[in-house]
Amino acid sequence: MVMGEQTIEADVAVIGGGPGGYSAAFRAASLGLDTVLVSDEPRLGGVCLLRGCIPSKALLEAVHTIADAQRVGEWGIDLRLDGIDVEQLHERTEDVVDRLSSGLDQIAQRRGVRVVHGRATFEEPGVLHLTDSDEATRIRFDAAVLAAGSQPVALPGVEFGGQVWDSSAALRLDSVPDRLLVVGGGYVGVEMGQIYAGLGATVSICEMEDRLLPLADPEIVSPLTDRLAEQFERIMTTTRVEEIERSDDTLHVRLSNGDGDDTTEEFDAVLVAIGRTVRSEGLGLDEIGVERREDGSVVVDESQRTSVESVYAVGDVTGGSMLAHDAFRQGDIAAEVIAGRPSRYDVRAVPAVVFTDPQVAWVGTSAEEADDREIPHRVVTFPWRAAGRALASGRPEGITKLIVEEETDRLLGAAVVGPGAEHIVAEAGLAIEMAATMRDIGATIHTHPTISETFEEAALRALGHPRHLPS
Amino acid sequence: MSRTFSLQDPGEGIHEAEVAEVLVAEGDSVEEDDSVMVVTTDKADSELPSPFAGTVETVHVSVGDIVEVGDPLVTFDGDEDGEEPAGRDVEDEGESDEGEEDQETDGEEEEDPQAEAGEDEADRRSTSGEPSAAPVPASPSTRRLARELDIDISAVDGSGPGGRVLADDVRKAAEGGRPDAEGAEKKDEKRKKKKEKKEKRAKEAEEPEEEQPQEQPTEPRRREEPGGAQPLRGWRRATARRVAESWQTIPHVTHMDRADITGLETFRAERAPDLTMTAFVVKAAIGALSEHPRFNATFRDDELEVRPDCHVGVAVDTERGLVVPVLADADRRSLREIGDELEQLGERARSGSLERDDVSGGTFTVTNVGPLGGTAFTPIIVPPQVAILGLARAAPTPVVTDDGEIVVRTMLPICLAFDHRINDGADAARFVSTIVALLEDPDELLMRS
Repeated sequence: MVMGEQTIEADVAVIGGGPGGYSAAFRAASLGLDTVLVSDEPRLGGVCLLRGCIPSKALLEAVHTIADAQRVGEWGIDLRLDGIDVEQLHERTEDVVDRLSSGLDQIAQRRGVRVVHGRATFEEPGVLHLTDSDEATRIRFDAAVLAAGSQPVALPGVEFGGQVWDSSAALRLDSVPDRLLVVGGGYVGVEMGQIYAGLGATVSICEMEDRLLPLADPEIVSPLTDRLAEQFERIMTTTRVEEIERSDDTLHVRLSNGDGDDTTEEFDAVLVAIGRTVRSEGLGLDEIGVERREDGSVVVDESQRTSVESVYAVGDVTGGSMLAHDAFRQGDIAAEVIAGRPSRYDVRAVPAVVFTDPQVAWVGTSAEEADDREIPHRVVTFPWRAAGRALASGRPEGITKLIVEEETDRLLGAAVVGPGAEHIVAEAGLAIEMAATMRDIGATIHTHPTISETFEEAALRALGHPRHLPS
Repeated sequence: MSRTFSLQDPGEGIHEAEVAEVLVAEGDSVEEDDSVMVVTTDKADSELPSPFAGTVETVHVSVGDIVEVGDPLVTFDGDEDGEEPAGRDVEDEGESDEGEEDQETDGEEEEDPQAEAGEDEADRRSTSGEPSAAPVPASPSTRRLARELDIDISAVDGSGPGGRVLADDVRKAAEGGRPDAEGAEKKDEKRKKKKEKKEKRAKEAEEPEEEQPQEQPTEPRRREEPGGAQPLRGWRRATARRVAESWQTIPHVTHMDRADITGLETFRAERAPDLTMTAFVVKAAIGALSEHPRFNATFRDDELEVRPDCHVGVAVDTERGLVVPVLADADRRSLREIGDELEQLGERARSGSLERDDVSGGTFTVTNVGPLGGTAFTPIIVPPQVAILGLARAAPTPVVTDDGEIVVRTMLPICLAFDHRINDGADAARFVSTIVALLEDPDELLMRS
């Protein structure tokens, strides 16, 4: 079939099918705007759903279950592991992804969002040019939402491929190597490390900084590091990869720890998880005058608008947290602003969760940030060894930590380690957005015995009268 | 060091003003006490003198803006050292320092392209250059409401615990009332308000703010269409607020009567053709007020003050709307003086050159729509006064005399609106009868000092 010039007209054109893109498209459609979403992937969901958050959660669930089964051994319950069918595990993960992705297709269809497959480039501020698309060659729009996402950063001089994996390759579970080196101690590195350790690989991890999860509060990272020290072969901090040489099936990795004592070690696979970089090249952004930072991230104002009036940007492509839930919110805001609503990104608390066992999670202002910004504050912790539920579950290592503004007694931030930390930062996020004080939290009844109770207990401790601690 | 000149309450409970004229531009050099702008408050235009000397760094407002007390008007850079007068709102260095900090942060980001999670998101955003002050304690929905109502939430005083800004505070700010600016509020008044708030909140909880997709715009629209709803501005806004307040709080009763001014008209034609009927009625009213002092009074905070002095406001219709200049010490003036003074005030009202003092302090008001027509109307009292005298059009009218004959007389319709909390219908009837008697007997009217 020979395609002529075919142009789609739309109120809103969304570029990208990930969390930022589909949330913007769905919200725009729900506000009555004629919306087209252009995706360069065959399925909706973006990296998060297809090759990131969701499949990794499915795999982590599996290895956490293995760990749980081992732990109850100490309680007199013998659940010996009788093999892992990696292929079946992979299929199950794919099944989860498929169901969620086709769910997105259905929502798009029901809301009347037209999904076009192809690669979009800005031709002018009101026109997108499409390539690799069977459906159209141009989209004319009143407003565009750019949600092009991000991609993994490679080590200098080391291309991804073969046994050098990025996070997406690692999630494909093509093989479980005997010896895996994880490069980068951020959340992707520790989660993937724990997955492969759980599946039987001998895992080593190296991190440039002097500790794992350098962005998180060191106090709450410590119980995780203790756990990983049992599961991993080695944790190498202040260590960087200088060179990787491939020979046959073995990777020779030269590591340096800054003292000039380089060592070369052998691994069967290397996962490089040293960060993500924005995908903002080849979209015609410079041509239409969309301002970008040196790292390529698109500059937006509080209404998600770029320096070009008709173009908005959301999610990873704007830099920032690079978290799916942040992108969701930004997508909603862009759509609402386009529809003439007074939405603004006035977010005070973006939660982050590392889904390891134990979970590490935080939200709002960290103690370190409060110090840097000279906000008078105090830090209050509640150790889970004083929480009935945590002890019953055999998880006394957890900590719930609150950062409290001195003057107002309002919650500035929270940092939590322990299984179920994800739920506590959710509640803490609400408390921060609502400007809740320690009294508000301390006077809110939490179910006993639960892990959520530690949030109330920490607030009571901030007020000077914890219930389950001497002081 | 930058210093910011903010709008001050001149001490009369002014909450806001409209910028009528901006007299300086960025980069201008200003001496202390030079006028920097003209604002319209309530009924008068005021020139605002600069409390500082210096170069204008930023003009924060433009003509037509509604500014609230405390809002920044002009920021001066402080090269030329000026004393900071006490009592003025002088912002400390925080603002400019924060600005620099922002820039530094931006710079750091550029050096470190791998900047990642945990970084203050706000710093990454190119905002309109607002100083990043501490976040206002308010829930996300309240913050959204503020944007919907176009209210700067950082300028709203929170009435919740610890200064929390509640949805009601934002609504009040939008209506123009600033909850804390009301001065010394009585305790039970506060309690009452709290209760009302509670009820309102409960009501809101029952009626969740649901979005109605069918009412959504079908096209992206973010600019006001011409002819769309516009906020009231300036004097209209001030008038709107004052009459609404009067109407809502004062139980008005209007007593109507007619005065036979046939004789007065003859007298006026012969003796004082240059004096207006209004001047004669003001004179008659002053005479009646001295006999019925409870109509020359103010009522505030449940306290009635019967005024020993008498200042009569006279409504004037101008291009900008209704203005009520006040004839001060009216009881000490002769009819001639009253006439002359009224003429002057009227001219100044029409040319917009009244000062704040010219429009305040009235104890009674007269409004005459007669020249424009009308047989009767119900005027609205100017708080804290307790009565207003309205005149409709005097006209030749068939009148039945005591002898049962029908004669044609010039009758002036008189409408007295009074605050029923202070006076009763009988008081009003007696007061108006005195006015009628004085108007019907010009000699007696002139005898009154």
